[in-house]
Amino acid sequence: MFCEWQSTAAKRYQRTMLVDMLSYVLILYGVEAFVRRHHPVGTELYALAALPSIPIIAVLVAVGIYLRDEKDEYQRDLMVKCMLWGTAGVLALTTFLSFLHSFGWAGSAPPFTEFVTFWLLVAAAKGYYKLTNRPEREDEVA
Amino acid sequence: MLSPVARKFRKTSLSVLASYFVLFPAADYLAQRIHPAGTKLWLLAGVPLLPLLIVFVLMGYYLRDEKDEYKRDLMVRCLLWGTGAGVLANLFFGYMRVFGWKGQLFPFTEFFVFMLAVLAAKFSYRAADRVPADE
Repeated sequence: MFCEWQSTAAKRYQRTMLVDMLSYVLILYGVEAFVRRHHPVGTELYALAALPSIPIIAVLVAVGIYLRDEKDEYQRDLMVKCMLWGTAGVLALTTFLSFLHSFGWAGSAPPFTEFVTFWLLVAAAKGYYKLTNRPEREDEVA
Repeated sequence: MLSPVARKFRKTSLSVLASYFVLFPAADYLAQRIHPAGTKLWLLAGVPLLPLLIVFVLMGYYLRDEKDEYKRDLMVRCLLWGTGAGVLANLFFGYMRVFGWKGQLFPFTEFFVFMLAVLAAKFSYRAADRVPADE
């Protein structure tokens, strides 16, 4: 698993993701501390809520750059398939929650449920494809 | 020109979506009349979701069966733009709630953001990839 060969685009993608995620954690803690101290409202609150989205935008851009630069069509196709599974799952979830609200449900899902669901589904699809696309052993083929 | 697979996808998904316009008002009417709670409410909310799930499956079949790589790639790109926009909208309002916002989004906001971004991407690709008339 750790000796898996990776393309240059994949390596760059992983490096960028790591930097993005680290900056996400730093920004999120910084903003949260600021909000707890100053209790902003209105435009200030909107601006502060947008700040942690910046590393996430960077992650999405990194995915886009990876999909553009990846030479291995199979790997690119695999990444796209996994993301589409995530998209379908999240759309189904948000629509279901919206129907619940329309029909009188007063509750609400915890924040970021959809985002976490998206990445969980992407990871599940990736794991599934990794398992099912494993080449058969020679003795099994024979 | 639409490929046969695209034509089939369009025809089937339109007829499936037509059932949505029957199922949603019916479920809504039932919800207004019997005011369900708990499992009944969850089941009722699942009913209008069915046509949408079928459309997702049809989209998967389209992506699998479309022979024209360019069209498939275009569709995937549009879907990924939609995903990015939907995820961002969801995250932004998630942070707003974490930081003390008491408001509530309209139902289906993320879905509409997704669809709008997909359409915007589709039109922008159509405009950018247009072959000049003299070629």
